Amino acid sequence: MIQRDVDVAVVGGGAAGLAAAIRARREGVEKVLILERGEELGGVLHQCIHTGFGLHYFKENLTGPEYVSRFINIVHELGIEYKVDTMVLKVSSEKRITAINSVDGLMSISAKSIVFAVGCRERTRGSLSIPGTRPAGIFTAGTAQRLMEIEGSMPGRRLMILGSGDVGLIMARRFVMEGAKVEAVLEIMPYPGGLSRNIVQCLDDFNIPLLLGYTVTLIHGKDRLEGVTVAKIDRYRRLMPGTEKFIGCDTLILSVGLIPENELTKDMGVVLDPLIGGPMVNERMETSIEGVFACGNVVHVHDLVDHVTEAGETAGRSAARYVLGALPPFRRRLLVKPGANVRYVVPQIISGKESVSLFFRVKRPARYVTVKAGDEVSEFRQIVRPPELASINLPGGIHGKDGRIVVSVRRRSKS
Amino acid sequence: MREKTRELTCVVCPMSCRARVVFEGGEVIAVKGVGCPRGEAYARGEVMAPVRDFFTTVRVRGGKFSMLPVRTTMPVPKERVMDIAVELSKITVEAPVKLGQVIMRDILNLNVDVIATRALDVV
Ligand code: SF4
Repeated sequence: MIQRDVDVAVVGGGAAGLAAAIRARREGVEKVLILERGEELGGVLHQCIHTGFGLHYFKENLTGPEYVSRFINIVHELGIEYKVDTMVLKVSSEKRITAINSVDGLMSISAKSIVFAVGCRERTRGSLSIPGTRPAGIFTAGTAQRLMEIEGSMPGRRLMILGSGDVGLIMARRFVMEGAKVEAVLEIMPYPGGLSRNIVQCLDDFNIPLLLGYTVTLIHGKDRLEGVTVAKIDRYRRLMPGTEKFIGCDTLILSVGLIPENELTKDMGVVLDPLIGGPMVNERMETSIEGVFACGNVVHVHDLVDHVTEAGETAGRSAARYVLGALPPFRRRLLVKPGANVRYVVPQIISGKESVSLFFRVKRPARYVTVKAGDEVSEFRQIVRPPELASINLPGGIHGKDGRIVVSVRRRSKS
Repeated sequence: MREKTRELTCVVCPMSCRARVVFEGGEVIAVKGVGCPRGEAYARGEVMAPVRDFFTTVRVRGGKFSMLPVRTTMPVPKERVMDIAVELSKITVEAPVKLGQVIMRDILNLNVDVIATRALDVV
């Protein structure tokens, strides 16, 4: 078995991992190694052929492949080592990585620091438990995207899309552009899951109906999908009798959410945030195990790749400093807790010393964000809406008496 | 001439204001409901001459993958999106392809080029 020693091992070669590796090298770390499961660096961005990437980070409107190519080129220029088609099987709490590929065979890699940038996966039919038969023709949106944009095969001719997340909306447009018919997009919630930009440009532009408060209740078809029964759902997520109708289709696309991928981190003993399923991190993107960092969609699912890149850079910088002995111990710890109308907040732990960006998702639309640290209360005027990831810049010098700060949002100002 | 109103959602920022564009004889005379000047500009453009970013994939021969992602160098008129998609569905590109390589010059005389958005090596 091959035995290796590296300074920083980056698990995952997508947007987060590339940014982390580049930053670690630029901070002066020699031995950086990227381990990627897919056949090339870049992750899911290669199949996100639409524009809208890089508006914040590059101040340019790029497609996914263009955005990620910039980072892949830097990895090559800096001569950062990477292994593709490589599966990480296990990571021990002593930072020993067991990985395998068809060239090197089984490898044991001992790392001084590890950055987890493994991203997330899609929720499937199984996790929704839709009753009915089990025919071919049911795909997650990301799988359909890969089939079309990389492998060049159409998933179907007459499609239904369940879930109005951005990937589903973007795929609805692509199906129509490629000559297929999209019968409708169904959303169980009373409001759309994706950005309004995508509702307008992906659905309205192509006259694709969006049925809010609807879901699929039955799957029909023996070998291939023949149709679905849809029904209206009330506020309490109960099926409304008499609203069922059959819609014929040969393909059902699921765009029903993403879950951080955390088998490796959990196995290793990293503490996860039960609200998200990703590792708890501090503002350096460090997990509960010293020298182990996490960034990108493995921590929480982002809306914008630009923020994933920034988180990757933070993790890469921290990992480099840890290896170089330049990362001072994290002394003061304030727990950041979600308060009224907030689903989660990242990072979950801050020092309160320096200014920090807090990212959070809310349960309902609001205009004011309050941060409560003991008796210190700061209010930020900011529009926040449920499908969108919100952020505020919290200034430094926060103490918080009981070791915690609480982020909540409200419609009206308190003052 | 009679006034007409069109409602649309501003997509420039997450506020998603409902804009009401009032026009008369093909001229915009007022934009109501927007929260800021950026929204006004968007709503005017959207009513008078809507444009869209264009991107798709085209077939490749001899490449590492079967499809090549492409885009137009500039946004195109909204009503021509399907025409461009159909035009590009007819072609097959030869690998290798460089990032930014022109795949089709001045497509449908729209004054925009179609370029590759990634590099694609031969198998
Ligand atoms: S009008 Fe201005 S404030 Fe309203 S959505 Fe558009 S950009 Fe945002």
